[in-house]
Amino acid sequence: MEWARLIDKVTSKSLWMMMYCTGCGAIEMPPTVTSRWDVERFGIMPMATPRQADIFLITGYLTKKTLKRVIYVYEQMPEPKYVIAHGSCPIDGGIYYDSYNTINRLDLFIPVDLYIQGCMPRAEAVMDALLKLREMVEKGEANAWQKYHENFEYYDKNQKALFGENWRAVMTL
Amino acid sequence: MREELYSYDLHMGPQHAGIHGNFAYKLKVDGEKIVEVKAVPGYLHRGFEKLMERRQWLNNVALVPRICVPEPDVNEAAYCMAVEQLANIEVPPRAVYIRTIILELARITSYLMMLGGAAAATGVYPVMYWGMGQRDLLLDLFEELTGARIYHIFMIPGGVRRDLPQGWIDKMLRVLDAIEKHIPDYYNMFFENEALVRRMKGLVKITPEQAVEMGITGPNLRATGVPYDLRKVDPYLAYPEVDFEVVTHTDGDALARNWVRFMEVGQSIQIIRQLADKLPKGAVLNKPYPAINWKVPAGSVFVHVESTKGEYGYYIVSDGQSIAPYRAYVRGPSTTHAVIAVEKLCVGLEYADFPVAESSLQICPPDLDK
Amino acid sequence: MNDTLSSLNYEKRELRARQWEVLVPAEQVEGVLSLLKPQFRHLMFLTCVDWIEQGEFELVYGLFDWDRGESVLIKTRIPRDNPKFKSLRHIYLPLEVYEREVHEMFGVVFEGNDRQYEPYVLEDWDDIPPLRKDFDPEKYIETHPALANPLHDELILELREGEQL
Ligand code: SF4
Repeated sequence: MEWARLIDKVTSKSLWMMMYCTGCGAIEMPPTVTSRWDVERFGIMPMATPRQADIFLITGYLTKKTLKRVIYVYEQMPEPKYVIAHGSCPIDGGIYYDSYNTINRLDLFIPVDLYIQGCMPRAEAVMDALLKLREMVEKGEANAWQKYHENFEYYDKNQKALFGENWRAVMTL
Repeated sequence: MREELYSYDLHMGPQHAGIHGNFAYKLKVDGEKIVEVKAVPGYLHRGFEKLMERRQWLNNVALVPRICVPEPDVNEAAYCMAVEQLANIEVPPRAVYIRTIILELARITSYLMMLGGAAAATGVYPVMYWGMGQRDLLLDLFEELTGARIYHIFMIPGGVRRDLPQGWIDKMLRVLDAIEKHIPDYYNMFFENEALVRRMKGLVKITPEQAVEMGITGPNLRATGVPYDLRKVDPYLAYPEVDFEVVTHTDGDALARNWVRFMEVGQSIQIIRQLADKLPKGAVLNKPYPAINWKVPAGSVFVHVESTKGEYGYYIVSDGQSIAPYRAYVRGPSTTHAVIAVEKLCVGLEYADFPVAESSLQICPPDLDK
Repeated sequence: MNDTLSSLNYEKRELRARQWEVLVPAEQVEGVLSLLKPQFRHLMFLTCVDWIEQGEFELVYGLFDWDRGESVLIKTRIPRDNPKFKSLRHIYLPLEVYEREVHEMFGVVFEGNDRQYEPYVLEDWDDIPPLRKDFDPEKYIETHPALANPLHDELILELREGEQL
């Protein structure tokens, strides 16, 4: 077996999930990680710091203010890293399509591996997505994070269009 | 020299294990002591009030529960009551009872989650695991009734969408029995737990005068010893017809706040049993209005309900000519709790206690950001 | 009705059971609020309504009496261009944050509240205050294309073409 495939296989058995609840979908996370659905039996568990996390679950709508922090957190996560977008809001704006403060499409700003549709997706759907991601990782298909390197200009251009040219320099909290 | 070494800014949140939800605090710390707190809200601001002005009166029913995730039903109830008041719509008594049952069930789900969160902030995880498991029993009931686990969109102006399914009441009573059976376990794990009690006793003590002055409402207010519960003080729906106690505690500290929440679970169970007993027969929806292009008569009204976090209200203005609300304002309880109370009361704490103090006030950012 | 409230000599209307609205001229609001404070100890909210056709902002103070369950909405109108009002946070402490919110969402200046200039929920806002009636979110999204969904327009176009067929 190739070395890289071995690493993929090992990684897929222990995926830690970033604990940053960004939108409505955060409410379905506790049932998913506690006794009823218990994703921990698949080696997936919440982790408080981005430096030790593999999965970033975007649990819903993203306001401009949150998106900035999301990008920061995403960039702090070590590679390989995987993004799951949860609900219809990160796909096309969902119910907030005409809001002046939320973005309508997440993959303009960071690459996404998997989308879960629904408003709000049930805990089973979240589980299903996590298992799907696990499979993808094992097969070496979940490589959206490489896109961030390859197309960084594209993402950077969109980020700057939204936040202004030197947003990285002026951001505080 | 000492100044430079010891005092620094500590940013709590928005991505932080000690902060519930998407909210941030800027702390100025001297050594381990907090000398200044500044709240930084707005991570969840979607411009709800603007969105509501752009949706028709009935479309808004689907929008309002999304303002607050842990307890969406109070939004539906308050919005519908305000619209009914403006349009002068009578609600059939059976619908009033069903609404009250839903609100009380939602109260239990929310409290189970809050207690779990408060315990988890101090490292006592079993309470969270049990609470989440039992909350799911209630969510299953909701799913059977309304088709959704979280956002029910079940109440509409004039009543509720559907009648109760057959056998639902019996199932609900069985679930309540199951939860009631576990109450002593929660009590032992939470209030008899030395580690947790010592951590919370005396933390952020609030006097009743301070609480009223700062606009604190809900369990946080009742934990200071005053029986101010909107269900009794300014009764709505079927609450005048049921018999329940307003839970109070005189300590006003973090432990007392959690105690009040815990005891209200028992009261809610009593309320639901009485309601199920008295449930009247008849229609559940009175809909003398068109589904689209409905124009509500001009006027304004403020309707508030008691949620698990405090006073939740809608101020709705209609100009009588347009098919959407002219202005909708949402009064979320967290505005005063998260900004006024935390900024004024958490000064002087050690920063390790800050997450516990913050979780004992039960701040829920979405209703403040809107 | 509460004695203090019934002694007030302004236009009053009943909005629902145990709730009244009182229309007070702008310069007398401070006096009325301090008069009502001992009875109505709880400030429920402060908000603003933009009556753009009349060219006025309406400030609404919601007060609540915890002991009798009565609420009163004090309403006052101020001109829409150059809106200024006195900060009343010395009467009700929570006004500190509500005035901050109204300042950000409507651009009303509350003289004497130094905290209103701190950003509240918005960050890097570059347009007129968003809850004013003349703010149009659709236009705002058009001028900030990164907020929009680039696929949306294409989808709509496809649908329109389908309709014609
Ligand atoms: S998709 Fe629905 S549930 Fe998810 S964030 Fe959007 S509105 Fe909330």
